[in-house]
Amino acid sequence: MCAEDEIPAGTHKVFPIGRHGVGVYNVNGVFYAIANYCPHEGGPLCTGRVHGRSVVSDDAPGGASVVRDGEFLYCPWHQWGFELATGTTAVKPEWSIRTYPVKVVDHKIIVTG
Amino acid sequence: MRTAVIRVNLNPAGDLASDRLAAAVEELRSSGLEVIAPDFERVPAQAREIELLLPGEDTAALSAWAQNRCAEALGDPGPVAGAATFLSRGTDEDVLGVVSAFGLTASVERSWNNDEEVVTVTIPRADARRTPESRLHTALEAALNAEVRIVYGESC
Repeated sequence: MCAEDEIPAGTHKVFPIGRHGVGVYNVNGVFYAIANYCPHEGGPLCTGRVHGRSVVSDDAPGGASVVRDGEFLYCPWHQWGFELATGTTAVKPEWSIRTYPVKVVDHKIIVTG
Repeated sequence: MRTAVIRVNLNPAGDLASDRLAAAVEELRSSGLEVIAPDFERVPAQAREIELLLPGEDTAALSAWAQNRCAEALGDPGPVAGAATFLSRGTDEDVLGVVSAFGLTASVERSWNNDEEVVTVTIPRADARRTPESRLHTALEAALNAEVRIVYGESC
């Protein structure tokens, strides 16, 4: 797809793969690839923000903490959040966004089908 | 075969040290299991959840197995399995799995139109009135990243 250093940690690029494109994300040196399409209403998922996941935390102000920062992608249309590693959300188990295995060979990123 | 994502809270009581949980994850990985785990030091004590990627379709059986396996690795009966989901790699099994999550059956055909893959999903006509077609369509296009055409037939 491209050279490894074209997607620094914390960034992503969208490539024209499949019907909707595929976003390749660098999460602290680990690459993930996910289809650019939200299963809720078809929003352009990969234009959304990358963030963590909120969990209950009685000790934290407001009673919630954000964990695993940078590992979840939120659709810009309705803020549905999906784990980059699996393309799924525990909130809607019937939804599975297509994800693709990613390899780095000779500093080049390879997305496999 | 599909790949299930089984979530397990290793220590809902929040009373075990993080390094003990990390050691359990290492033990699971060294036995060949694919495990997604956070940095336990940076997660609230009651929310230290991991995910096991397991081949199979029976989420109840996989969850029970994962819970027991995590308890064994941790040396503590505390782990509790949570929500189960499935990866999608765009296979026919993934299509049928998504369809079945909507309570339906289907048959799947693949074709090509101007270098673009088209997946035709045939739903029994008897199910047409209770099919949330737009919901099913977006779920399938997301699972496949391909054009999906839903048609209604006599049987599948």
